[in-house]
Amino acid sequence: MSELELLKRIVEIKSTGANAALATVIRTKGSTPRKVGAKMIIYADGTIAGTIGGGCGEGEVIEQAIQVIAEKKCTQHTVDLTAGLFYEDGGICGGIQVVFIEPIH
Amino acid sequence: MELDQRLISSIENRIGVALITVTRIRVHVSSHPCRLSAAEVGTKLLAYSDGQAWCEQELALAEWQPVLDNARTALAHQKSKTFILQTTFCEMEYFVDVYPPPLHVIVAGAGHVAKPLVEMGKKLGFYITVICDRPQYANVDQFPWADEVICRPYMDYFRSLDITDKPYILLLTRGHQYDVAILREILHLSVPYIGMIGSRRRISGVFSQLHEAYPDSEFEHVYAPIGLDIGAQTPEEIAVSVLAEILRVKNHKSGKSLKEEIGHFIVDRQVEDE
Repeated sequence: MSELELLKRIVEIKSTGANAALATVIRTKGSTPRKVGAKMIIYADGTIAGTIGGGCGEGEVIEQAIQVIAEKKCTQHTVDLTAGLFYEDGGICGGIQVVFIEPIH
Repeated sequence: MELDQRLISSIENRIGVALITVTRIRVHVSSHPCRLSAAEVGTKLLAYSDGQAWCEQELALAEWQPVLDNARTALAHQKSKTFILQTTFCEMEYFVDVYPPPLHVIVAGAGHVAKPLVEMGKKLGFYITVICDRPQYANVDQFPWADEVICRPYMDYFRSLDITDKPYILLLTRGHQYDVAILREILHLSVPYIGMIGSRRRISGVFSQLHEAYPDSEFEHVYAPIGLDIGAQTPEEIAVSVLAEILRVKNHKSGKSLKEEIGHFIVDRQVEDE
């Protein structure tokens, strides 16, 4: 999904009054799956559009986003990929992503 | 909503813009409000490279000048970034998301190589203009992926070429007489890339006609033969080779395999002493 498509989706969400949140990677450290600026829309039912990298980190962000939608309040969530499941010496990527999550309204 | 629509229309009209979002505010002294009036987490502003700014709320934009300056710098460097503004009473973190205008590629000649090149180039996010003088080739049916297809004599087009968006120009015409004529119009222009397709013989033929009239310095941004050395043969392979070269020039990289560039940092098999 291109950035433009994602932005148009946000306009659509606002005009229909649907409940959703926007997650944006605002800071990274080390090697991360997506870079600063990567975005994902999360709907109240947990479905997503776009990606901030997939995997467990994305799952955490989806959970946080559902809370953001309920409380209508921005938050930040840090995804730590340095302690991976598969490698003794760190995750597949092995970095840290700071994600800003805001309600779309 | 209005901000989103402005952002979308700027992107669609290829106007560089940065979106500023306040992502955290820490108040040091609770008795004093944050100096940036009306700022709260989630507040958004648009900053344009020409100095303009736009915001849905009533903000005193003069106060935001350092923030807008940082946003414009990030836009110029084409790199989204998070900044922190420190004031006596608070600390404000803000994220600058940059939407630089897409790279403009002008393809002169609407032949076999142009087709896959335009399609692949579009997928890379480039804004692509195809120019050719033959109506049976220069039309949107032949180039559904192009942003613009222009059917005009080459000379007409290149003589009045606007280079404010620093276009990358590819000469994929059907004959070297066209290349020579176009190069006479554009060699002096300050564009980052002029690529010319052709055999060694054709290229040396073109250069021998131009060398006397132009100093060597005018040829520095001319890439001929066009493309990276990956043994490209088919039109699709040539398209990959040319687009890879454009990315190489745009990103100021060597074009070598990463294995050669950084491989020795990764392969580290030192045997520990017993």
